[in-house]
Amino acid sequence: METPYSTYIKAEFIETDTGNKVSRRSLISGSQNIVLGGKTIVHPKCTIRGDLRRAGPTHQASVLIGRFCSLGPYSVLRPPHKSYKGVFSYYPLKIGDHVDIGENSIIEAASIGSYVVIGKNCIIGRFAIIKDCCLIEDGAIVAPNTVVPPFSVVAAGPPAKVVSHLPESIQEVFEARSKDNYAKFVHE
Amino acid sequence: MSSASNTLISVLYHCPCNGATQSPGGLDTGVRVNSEGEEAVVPNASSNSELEAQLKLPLQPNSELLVLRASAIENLYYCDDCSELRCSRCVIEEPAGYHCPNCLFDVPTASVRSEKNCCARNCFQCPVCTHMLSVVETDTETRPFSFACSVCYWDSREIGWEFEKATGISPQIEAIKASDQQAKEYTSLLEYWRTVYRISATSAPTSTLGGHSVGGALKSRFGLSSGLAGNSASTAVIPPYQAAGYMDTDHTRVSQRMNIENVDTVPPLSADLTSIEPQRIRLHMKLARRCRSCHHILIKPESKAQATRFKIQLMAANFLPTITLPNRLSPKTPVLLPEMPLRVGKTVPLVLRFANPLYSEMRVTVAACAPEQDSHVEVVAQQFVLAPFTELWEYDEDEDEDSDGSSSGERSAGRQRGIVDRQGNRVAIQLNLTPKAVIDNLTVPLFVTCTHQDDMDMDTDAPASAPAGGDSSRRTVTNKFWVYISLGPTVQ
Repeated sequence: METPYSTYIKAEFIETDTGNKVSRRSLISGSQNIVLGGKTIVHPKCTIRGDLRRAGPTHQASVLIGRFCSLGPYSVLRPPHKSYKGVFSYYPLKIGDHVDIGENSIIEAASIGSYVVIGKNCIIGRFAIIKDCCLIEDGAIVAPNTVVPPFSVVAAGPPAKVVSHLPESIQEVFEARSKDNYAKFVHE
Repeated sequence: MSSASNTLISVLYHCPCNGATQSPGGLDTGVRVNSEGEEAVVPNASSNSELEAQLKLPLQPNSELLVLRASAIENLYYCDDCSELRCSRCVIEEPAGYHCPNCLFDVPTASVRSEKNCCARNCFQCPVCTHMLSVVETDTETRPFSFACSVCYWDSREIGWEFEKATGISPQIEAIKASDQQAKEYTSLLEYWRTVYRISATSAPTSTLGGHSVGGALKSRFGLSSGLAGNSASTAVIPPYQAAGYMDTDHTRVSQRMNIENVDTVPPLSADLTSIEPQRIRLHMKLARRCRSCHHILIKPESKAQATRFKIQLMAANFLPTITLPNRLSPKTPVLLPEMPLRVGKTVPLVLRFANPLYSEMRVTVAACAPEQDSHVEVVAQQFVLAPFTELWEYDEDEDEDSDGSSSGERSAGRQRGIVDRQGNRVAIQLNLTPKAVIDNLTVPLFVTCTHQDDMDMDTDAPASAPAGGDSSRRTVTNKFWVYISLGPTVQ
């Protein structure tokens, strides 16, 4: 019932000095535009598209991820794009702390708050805004431009709807879960 | 270890409330004493077997009611005035702020009533798929904006809603709807009946509460002697209703609708969606929760829609020990979870881990129920002490997990029999479980009693008495509750 230990081969992961554990088999493009807060785990075959950024002179980060996050295997994180007044541009994708993204999920949201758990095989549409303390169930398809209010459980779809609410203590539960996940992800 | 078996394992805490009424008879909880008075009754090791014999299960483990009455500790609250566990059925909910789930705009309580619990800004629902509508630019020259749904591609131009500006949609919609005859007729009808109601309410004698004096004063003013005479006089004052512009002349259809006796068939939803209008999005409520018996606030959220913090948050996990089934103590030690599925007749050691959330020491007593038909549980360590929680353990934990020698050293130190591991504020104890029958979901009930000294100052005590007594502000708090541990199916 508690999280089991999961081991990885030491050579397969790069561990940065801020404690991030990035798999060598992950597909990361444009790594100079990606910011990982400390102690984040990027699992194998996870795709992060840092190369899709707004064309501009200044150096802007296109994907910003917080601390104690876990990006599942085969997941895709790509910044959302829009044509506004004839100009096509990419907008930054911001993810908060303690976010757990399940495997095979496609994330194209504009922003994801902190303490969010996203299940497996989810699709988060363009410019969706997911606020803090939410749970996106497995297989949910969140439509573009949706706003998911705090403490909601979103399921099914398309378009995914709010089916229930989370208890008030869920912030501590998710925080403990993500810290436990990180602590139990050890090399053999 | 398959993850499927992990989802079947759960630890549920039973709340002995009756739902609608206050807390229960039957379970003695929250004994509160001061140091001069008598001590709280805590079952000690010698009388544990008697305790076991006396224990009466509140709910059979396979009862369907278990879903309602017992839940995981995350969903439970704790009233520190009553020193009792509270579940979502025995708390009073009240609104603590309204906001729109789409634009996350805080709506003041006065506007909630006037806007009929809907968002007054540009938040509308698609009539086809109920997703949120967004304002998009269209290529028409006059009135270039309209609503569009990004899921089903419905556009509001289909019903003729086109806007000149992207913001301030509400007044533009009012302007579109104002030309609708039926809507105008409806509003004037509503106004007429509202005035009728207002006048009849003030003149007619209102029932019981405070109606007598008002009725009497009005009666004397108008010189009326009886209620009946008053009613007819007031309604005669208002003229009958005049149609404002729209009148349905199809009398046969109207009379048919008014004389409907039974509705046997329901016509199918027409494919004609041109007449369905987008609805406004309903507001969400933030809830504050109070204890049902003492009305102490348990949950008080911050009023801002976006804030996820709470001004007051009394959750059970902060007062009662959290019980979990650990997988293994460190990467090198063997797996502690018994092999799933469990086999009938085979005694397996079941390890439970108790974590103390309080800043003071807690004494815990665990008792299993008297012989059950489904399983037999032997509690090896019946009484133990949990160390207080300090934030320092959070930082030390990483070191403990890595060095595999430390925890095994504790184990072999010849401590109390049945304690498998002791780490900071957590203790892992061992139970010997023997399933006796083949069932779908083996549930093991345990009765847990925890006692701790509460160092809080009592508000009612005068400060002058505190220094003299020394211990007079401490009290012993005991919590007793049943825990149901589900372990999945058993096989032969």
